[in-house]
Amino acid sequence: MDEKMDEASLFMLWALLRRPMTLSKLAAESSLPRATAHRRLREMEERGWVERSSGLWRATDRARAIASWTARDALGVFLVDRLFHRAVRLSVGGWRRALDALSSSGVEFVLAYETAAYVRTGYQTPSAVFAYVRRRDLERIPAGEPARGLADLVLIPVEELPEWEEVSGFRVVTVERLGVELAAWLGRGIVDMAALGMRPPPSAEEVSDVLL
Amino acid sequence: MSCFEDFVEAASRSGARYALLGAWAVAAVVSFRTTHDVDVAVERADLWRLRAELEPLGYVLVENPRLGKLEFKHRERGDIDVYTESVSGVPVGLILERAVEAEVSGRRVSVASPEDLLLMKAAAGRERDMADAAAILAAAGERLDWEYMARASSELGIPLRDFLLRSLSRLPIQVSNPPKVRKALKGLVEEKLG
Repeated sequence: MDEKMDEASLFMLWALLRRPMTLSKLAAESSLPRATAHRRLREMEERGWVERSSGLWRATDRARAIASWTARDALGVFLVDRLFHRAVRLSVGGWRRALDALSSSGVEFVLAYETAAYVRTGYQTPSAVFAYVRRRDLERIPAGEPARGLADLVLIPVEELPEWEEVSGFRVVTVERLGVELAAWLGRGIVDMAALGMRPPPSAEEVSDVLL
Repeated sequence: MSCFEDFVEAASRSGARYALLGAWAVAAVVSFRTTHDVDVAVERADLWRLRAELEPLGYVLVENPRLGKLEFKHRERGDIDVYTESVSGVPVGLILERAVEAEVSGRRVSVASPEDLLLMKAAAGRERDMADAAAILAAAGERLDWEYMARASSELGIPLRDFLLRSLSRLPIQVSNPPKVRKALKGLVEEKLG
């Protein structure tokens, strides 16, 4: 499946945030051929931005939460969403073992998402190791099995590693980038954001029990 | 020692009947995220036996009437939040009755059943609850007692179906082939909960 999410997709998402629509109506409003509109909607459905029921397309709850954030921060979400969409998901027997395997591989990496949040705050353990690695280094990592269910090593291939800071002996993404990564999938990332003293996208979330 | 280990040992010594809740109970179903704090359902009658075990370790028991819970607080080891009446509208008696044995962090413990966890999470409905629910569905969707969940959610007035469908947009990133998993789980929820 093509992994494009272009201006037409963003326009349709904007339109669906206002109200649910049929494919025909949405294609007309977007000035797109019906087949193109349908293809873009399917791509956004795969990424969890839109859903359909009873013949109507609508923005998902996640899309609504992100859209309520400031435009400056929300735009970054689309980049990390695209990068993580290409991730290689492996199963190596737990996130601690995954971190050991990655550290001993000799490959340069930058920890991301909930793994970076754990290194920075120690508040919530990660469910997996998320790390940016150079695409050309992927095959040098002594990998486990391709994950069938939940992976514990998630490698995000990039051309060059993102900006990083050293924390507790690990290279981790900058706080600013981490904030965007955590907001992109909401969920327990909201709790990490609270532990980092960040402002999450507006939501009904109760985070007052997080000890800072 | 962490408050998780402190609690498990205190419960074992005192013979208190309990069920772990929250992230530690999710960890019994799927390897997911845990915090150093512990949430637990306990019979009121056992609270004082636990207190006798935990206070000598430096825990102080305080009441949090706003959130309807008691808290054993410790400066370094974290907090143990105790529910003795209900959790998000689900009665503690029901949670304890359906609690299951599981191994968590290398220890044999009693945890709330995954079905009751989903009911509690649906009633609370926060971001972290959706993420936990999606992880549970991805790991154990077919194995859940859907008949019980349909009946209990109706009796307790918990909007379980809508919550679970919303939760699917919080499917963990590390799930292999998320679109396929999301579609399958959507079908499962709609089939089982109407």
